[in-house]
Amino acid sequence: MSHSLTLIESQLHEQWLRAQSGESSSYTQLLSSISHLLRSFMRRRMQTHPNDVEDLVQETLMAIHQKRHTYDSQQPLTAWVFAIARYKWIDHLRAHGRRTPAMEDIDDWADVLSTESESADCDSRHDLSLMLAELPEKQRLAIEHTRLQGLSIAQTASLMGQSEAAVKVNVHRGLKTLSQRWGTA
Amino acid sequence: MKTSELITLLASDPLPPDLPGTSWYLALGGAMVLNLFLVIGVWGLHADVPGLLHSASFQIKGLWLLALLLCSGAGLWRMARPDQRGGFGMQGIGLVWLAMALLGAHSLWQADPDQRLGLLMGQSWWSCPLSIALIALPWLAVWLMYLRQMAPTRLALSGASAGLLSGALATALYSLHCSETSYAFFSVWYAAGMALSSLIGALLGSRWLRW
Repeated sequence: MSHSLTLIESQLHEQWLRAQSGESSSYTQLLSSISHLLRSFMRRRMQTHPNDVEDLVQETLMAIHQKRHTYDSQQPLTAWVFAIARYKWIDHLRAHGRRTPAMEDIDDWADVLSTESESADCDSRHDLSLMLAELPEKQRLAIEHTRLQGLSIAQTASLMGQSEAAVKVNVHRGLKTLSQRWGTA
Repeated sequence: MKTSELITLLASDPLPPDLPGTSWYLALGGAMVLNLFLVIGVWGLHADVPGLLHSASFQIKGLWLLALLLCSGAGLWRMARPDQRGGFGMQGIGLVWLAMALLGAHSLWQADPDQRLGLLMGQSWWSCPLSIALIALPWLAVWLMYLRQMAPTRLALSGASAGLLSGALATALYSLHCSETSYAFFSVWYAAGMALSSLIGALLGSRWLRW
């Protein structure tokens, strides 16, 4: 037992004995010292579910209160407290283990993920329109119609009043300019 | 609720700790009466009880069962407390059983080869373990009740030690009916009855003892 734990033990044990003699204020004090120990015990073990830490601390405090007749005051109090804490922790894992597996199902996160991807999509569209704005009008329209709106070369040609060959050339030139300016995208 | 509020509540709460109370002592007495009724009324006492009490085999068996009772009782006492390990109770049970197994092996070794099977199987090798496990059930209920009021942390093992204590109590009472005298029989079939009772205790314990 380390020095600090020995110190904690002797303090708690003294508080326990005073509480047993009927001092309710030292029982309050004892439970609150124990709750600090429990909080760090549970926090270390519940790093993936920090929201459950306080529930477990309270659960353990209630068990300590309810099962206090199982403590033999000849024995170290901290050993008894931590034995109950360990039981409550394992019991919690057993009860909740199946509900929250280590691997999350990606479908459970569909809402969050789709929101994020939508906004990313908006950003890229915004960027693209900025890039296209720098191109000559004919090249920009040719790319927008064929690559973004999904029209065929023939449709684009009739829409813009150009030959199909001219549309192809404009698309090609526009993409070449873009790739020269923005790198090998 | 905040933890500080809970602490104030607990400190002011006159909730009595759930010590084994009157109902538990009533159940203990009830199990005793039920057991005596089963052994005397249903199974029937041994034909010659005074002769049985004076036989060496009965006395050694009695000592053996007493040792098992003490060890399993100590084991259960420890199991009921979260900060106690299994300790000597568990090893003691093994040693006590081993003593009877050695006596049995010795008697088999000494016997004529064609009598060995009779010494080992007796007249009642199949009914004896089942009777013991059945007579143990009321005791098991009592000890599981006791454990529920305490704070066992290893539930199946706690249930098993309750089952073993119940089995040993049942065997002691069943001895007043049983006409077997072979140590080899005791070490196998009495032990099988107690093991069966421990198994039932472990199965029930892992379900009923959560707190």
